[in-house]
Amino acid sequence: MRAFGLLVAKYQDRIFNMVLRMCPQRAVAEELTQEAFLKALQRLNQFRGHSKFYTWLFRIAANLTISHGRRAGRVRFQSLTGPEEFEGSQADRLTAAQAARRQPGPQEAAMSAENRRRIAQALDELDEEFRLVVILRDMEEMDYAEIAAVTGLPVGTVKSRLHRARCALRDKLRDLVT
Amino acid sequence: MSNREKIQYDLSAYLDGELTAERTQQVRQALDQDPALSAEMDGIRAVRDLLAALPRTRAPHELADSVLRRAERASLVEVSSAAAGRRPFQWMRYLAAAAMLAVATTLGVMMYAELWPEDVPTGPAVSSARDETPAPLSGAAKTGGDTDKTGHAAGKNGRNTGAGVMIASKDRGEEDLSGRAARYGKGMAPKGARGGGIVRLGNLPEGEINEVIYTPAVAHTQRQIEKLLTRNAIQPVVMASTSPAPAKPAPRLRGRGNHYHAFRVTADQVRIRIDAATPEQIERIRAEIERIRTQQRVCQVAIPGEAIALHRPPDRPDGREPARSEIADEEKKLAEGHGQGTGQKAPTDETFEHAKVKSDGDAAVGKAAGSGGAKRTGPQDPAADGTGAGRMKPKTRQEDSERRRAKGQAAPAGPDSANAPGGRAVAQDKPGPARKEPDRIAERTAQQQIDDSADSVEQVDVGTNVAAVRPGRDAAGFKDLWAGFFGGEGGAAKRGVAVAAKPVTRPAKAPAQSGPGDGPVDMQEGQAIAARQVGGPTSQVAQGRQRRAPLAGANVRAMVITLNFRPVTDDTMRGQVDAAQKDAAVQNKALK
Repeated sequence: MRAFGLLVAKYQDRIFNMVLRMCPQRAVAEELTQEAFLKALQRLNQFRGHSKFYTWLFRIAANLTISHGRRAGRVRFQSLTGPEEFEGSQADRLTAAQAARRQPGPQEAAMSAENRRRIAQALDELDEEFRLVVILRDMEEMDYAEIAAVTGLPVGTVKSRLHRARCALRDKLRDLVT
Repeated sequence: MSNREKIQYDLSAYLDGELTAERTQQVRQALDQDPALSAEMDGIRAVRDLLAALPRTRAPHELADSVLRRAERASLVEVSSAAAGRRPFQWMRYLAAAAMLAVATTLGVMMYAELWPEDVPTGPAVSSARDETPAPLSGAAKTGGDTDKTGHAAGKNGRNTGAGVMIASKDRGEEDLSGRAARYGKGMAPKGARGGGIVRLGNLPEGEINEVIYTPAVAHTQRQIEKLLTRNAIQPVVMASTSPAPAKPAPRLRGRGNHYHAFRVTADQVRIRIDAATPEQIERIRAEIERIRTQQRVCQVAIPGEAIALHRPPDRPDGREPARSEIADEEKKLAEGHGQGTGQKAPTDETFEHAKVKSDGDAAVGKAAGSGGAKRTGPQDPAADGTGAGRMKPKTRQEDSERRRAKGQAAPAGPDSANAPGGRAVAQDKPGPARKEPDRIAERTAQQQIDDSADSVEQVDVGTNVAAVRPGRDAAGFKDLWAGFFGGEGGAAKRGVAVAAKPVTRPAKAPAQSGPGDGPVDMQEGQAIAARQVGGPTSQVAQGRQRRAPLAGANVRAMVITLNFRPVTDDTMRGQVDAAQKDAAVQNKALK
C-alpha cells in the first residue's frame, strides 16, 4: 500500500489535469481521479509491463472519464460560470501560481485569463475523442505511440485526429493564433 | 488526395517530429515553396503553443490520502467478502430480482386476462382434478375448447327459481359477455367447492332456461346429459375450426334447432347450451335433468349468491320508467307482503344458513309442502292451510300434461292478457291453521296445483322476492304485473306476495284459485322458501317439485345446463342427502 501511495503521489497531478480538462467540474474530476487510482490498484496484477505504467494509468483514467461523460448523457460538462470557475478559486489560483513557479514559461506567463478561458472553452467544445488526443499530446506531451497506447487507437488514427483537432482549434481561436 | 493535401495532413506530425526523415524533408521543401502551407503551419504551431501554455492544475493535496483510505477500505471489504465466500448481500439482490420478475409476470398475466379475457385459454387445457377422465366436449370444446363465459348461475339479469332453474330476463347477446362476469363469479363458488368456482349467470338471452346441476363428477354427469340429448335427437354442434383455442364465444344456437354445444368454462364448470326444436323437447329434457339431479349425492340447492336475481318492476302503463325509489318501495312491499303472507319474513342468507344447520328431512318436507317455510307446529291440513291446496280439484298428471300441451300450442303470449287481469298473481294474507294431514299429502296436492298453474305462472322466486316474467311478455303483461304489485286495474290490490303472471289464452282461473291464501303459486313459494331455509339436501325434494312446473307450455326452446362441481366432503350433508332422497323415494311411491 505504501508503494501504491508513492505511485499516486507521482502521477496524481498529471492524471488530475487530464481528467480536469476532459471534465471541467472539479469535484467530478477529483472523484474520477480517485476512482482511476483505485481501479488501477484493483487491476494492478493485470499490468503486464508491455506499456509504460503511466500510459496504463492514463488509459484507465481516460476510459473512466469518457464512460462518465457518456453516462451523464449528451450533456457536456460545461460550467455555468465558465472554465475559470475552478481556476478562479483561491486554492486554484494558489495551485496555478505554484505550477507557474514550477514551470515558468514566457507564453504561459503572458497569457491572460481571458485567453485561457477562451482556449479552455474551445477545447471543451471539441468532441471528447479529439479532445483527449490534443490533451495527451500538447499538455501531457506524450508521443503518438503513447497516445495510441492510452487511447487504444492506431497511430495513424491518432495522427489524423490530432491534426483535425488542431485545425478545429485554430479555426476557433483564429484571432489568437494570428 | 493530392500531394498538397497529404502535406497538409502531415503538418501536425511534422510539427511534433513524428514523421520519418524522408517525409520530413518532403514537408520542409513544400513549406519552403508554398507560403500558404507555411502560414497554415504557423497556425497549427500557435495552437500547440497555446495549449501547452495553459496552466497546470495540481491535484488536491488530500487526493492521495483519500485514494489510500478508499483503497484500504476496499481491501478490507474484499477480505471480509472473500471470507464470507460471496459478495455482501448478493443473495438479496438475486432475491429482489426474482421477486420483481415474479411480480411483473403476475401483473402482466392479470392485465392480459383483464384486457383480453377471451384469449385466456380455459378450455380443455384446464384440467380438473375431479374429472379424472373428462368426457369429450362436443362442438368447439372437442376441437380445442371454447372460452365462453356467458353462463352462470344467476346474476343480475338471470332469475333463479330457487332450485337452479333460471330464465334469462334480458337478452344482451353473447358478445356482451366478458370474462369479467366469470371472474366475479368465482367468488360466488358454493361452500366446499374447490378450484374454479362458479361462473354466474349474469347475462342470459331472453327466454333461455338455465338448469344448474351440482355434481361431484362433472364429466360423468356431462356424459349423462349428452346421452340424454342424443336420445332426444339433439345433436352436438361440430365446429369447423380446428384451432386449439378459438377465442370466440360459443355459437348462438337459437334458431338452429336440435343442436347442443358443450364447453368447459372452468375446471369445475361445464356448460351445455341447447337449442331444441320444440318446447316439448325442453320439457322432456328438463324432466330427465331433474332425475339426473336427484341422483347426485351433493346438495342441489342454489347457494344464496346464485339466488340474486333481477328485481325490477316493469315499465308503467304510461311508459314511464319507474324511479329507483319506486323500485325500492316495491321490493320492500314484496318483502313485507311475503312475511305477511307466509307468517314469516322472507328468508335471508342468514336464516338460510341457520336453517341449513338445523334442518332435517321431515322439517324440510313439511316446509316445502306447508305455508311457505313456516315452522311446523303440528299436523297440518292441506285443505285448510294457507296454501289453499285443499280447494284445488285434484287432477291427474296426464290431464295436466295434455292440457298444457294444448295450451302451449294455442296460446300466443300477450294478446289475451286482458282476460287474465292480475294473472295468477296471488297472495297469502294469513298463515293457515295447523295442518291435520301429513305433509306429503299437502305436498302432493300442491304439486298438482303447480302443474295446473304452470302455464300461467312462469317463474316465481319467492326466496328472493322476485317475480320473473315469461319471455315474450308484452306491455299488457307488464301492466298486469304492475297492477299486481301496486294494486289497480286488473291486479289484486295489496297482495301480500306479488307474483308475476303471464297473460294466457285460457280464461282466468276461478276466484277460489286466485284469491288470497290459496293457489298453486303459494305452494310453489312455500317450496322455494323451504328450499332456501333448509338449504340442505332435503331441499331437493321441494325444489324438484317446484322445478317441474314453471315453464310448462312456455315457448322456450333454448336452454343452458350448467354442471358445477360440488364435492361430497361433508358426511353430515351426505347423510342428509341420503335421507332426503329416501324421503323423496317414499313420497314418489305414495304419489304413484
